[in-house]
Amino acid sequence: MTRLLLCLALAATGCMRIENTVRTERGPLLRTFTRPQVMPGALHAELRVRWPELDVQLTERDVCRETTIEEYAEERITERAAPAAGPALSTGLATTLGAAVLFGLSFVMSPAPDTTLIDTAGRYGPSLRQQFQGYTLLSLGIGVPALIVGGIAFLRTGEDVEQRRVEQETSQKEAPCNPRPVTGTVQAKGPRGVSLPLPVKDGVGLVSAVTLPGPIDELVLGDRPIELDESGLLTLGAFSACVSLEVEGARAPESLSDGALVSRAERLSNCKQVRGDAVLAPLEAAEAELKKRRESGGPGAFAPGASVTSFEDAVSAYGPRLVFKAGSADLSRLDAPEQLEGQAVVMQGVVSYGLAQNIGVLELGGREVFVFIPQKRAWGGDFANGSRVEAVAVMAGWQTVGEKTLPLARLVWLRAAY
Amino acid sequence: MRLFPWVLSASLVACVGPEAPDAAVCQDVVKRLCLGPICQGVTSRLSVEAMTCEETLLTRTGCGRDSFAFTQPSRVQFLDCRVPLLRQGASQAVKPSCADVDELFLDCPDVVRFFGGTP
Repeated sequence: MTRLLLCLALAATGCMRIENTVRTERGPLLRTFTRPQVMPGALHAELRVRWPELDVQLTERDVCRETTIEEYAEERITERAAPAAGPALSTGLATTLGAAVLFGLSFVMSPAPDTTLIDTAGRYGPSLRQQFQGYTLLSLGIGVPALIVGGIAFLRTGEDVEQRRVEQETSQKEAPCNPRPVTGTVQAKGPRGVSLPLPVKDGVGLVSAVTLPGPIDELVLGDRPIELDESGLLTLGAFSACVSLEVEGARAPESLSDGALVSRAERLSNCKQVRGDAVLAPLEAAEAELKKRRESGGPGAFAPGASVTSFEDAVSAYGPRLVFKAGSADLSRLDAPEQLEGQAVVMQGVVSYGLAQNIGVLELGGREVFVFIPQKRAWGGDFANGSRVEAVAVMAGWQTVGEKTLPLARLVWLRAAY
Repeated sequence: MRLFPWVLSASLVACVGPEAPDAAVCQDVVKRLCLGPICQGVTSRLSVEAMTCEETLLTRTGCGRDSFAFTQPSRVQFLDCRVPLLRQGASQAVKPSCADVDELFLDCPDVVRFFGGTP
């Protein structure tokens, strides 16, 4: 029976809600220290050209990280509160005290039974003393459980303080460290599927331009890319330009199309950074030819075919077989303008904007094309941005102006369209 | 733990007083039967008059004396037969209904005879 009552009391306290509140308070700074950490780094190559060879110095470097950490004391405080404990305790105290008062008063009351009442069992009614003592028991029945429940809940309230140390990272520094030479086989890869194995021993390797089938733009060791710094990238670009020129062989500038001539001049200029005066003469020849073509302006001077005097005349003389306009199936051919070099085309579109005096941009059904405008042109009129035009032109490969690279077409005739 | 039966007993005892003597029980029933206006069943079955009902019945039964004790009917039987008279209230000032009085006479011929009447 005792256990049953104890269980009932504990069950009653279970009904009382205990609220837990956790708060964290940061204490003083205990210390500041640095934590070194070494992480696997990357492969790095330094390049140097001694034409026709490219020296490769390959090193592997770790990343040394140094983290500054501040260690603080921290207190995690858990507060437990029972909002109902107070009311339960006060109710219990009041009713228990009331019971005590009633019990005391009962001894003042008459012990004589109530003779005006005889119950069905033949007994008189209870005396006033008996009634007061009954009320005492009733009050105790309410007050004592309330006292137990409130007391247990009150004992369960309080706070726990857990002290611990916490770390906070305040700064971090990283630097390459532990450089070491690498031995293995590096793959020199190029944009046209070129891949040449390059043995590297103790961090030193050599690539000969003679053995390369084309330009290269990337070095990898297994599946790990090899990082190049800015000067290394420039050196590799210049070396690749030289390799490309060697593969292409000597070409007379006059025999090249406009696009090919521009491309060759750019590669010669790039290659000059590593070969110096060795490519000066062909560079000057290419630049001279470019200058000549820019200044001559007459369509007949740039393209096969005769000079013309009207749009219809141009169509008749050049016989264009491709039409570039909105909705035209031929527009997809502009994806590879190098395959269209020298071909005459008809273009219908909108003047997008003029970039320079002799070059502009036409918008043809969502695609853009550079148009070269010769200084000595046979047609007249001005064509403002946004005006609709149609033209006969000759395709000339790719052209880069600023950051924009588009197909290039040299105009033969241009007129307004409606 | 030993307190628990004590508390329970005390609670029950707090609701009742000591046992009433036989004379008090008998007088209680006489008072209830003779409270005016007196029922027809009382005057006809017990052959009493309304004005002298209580004196007549106390004299016939002898329960006007403190030394009175039940023989026939017994105290238990008498208390059982008294139950219908308490339906309107336990207080002696409350008059029982005539139907309850008739029920007593019908169910308890010994009591009718005890009061000197004809069952």
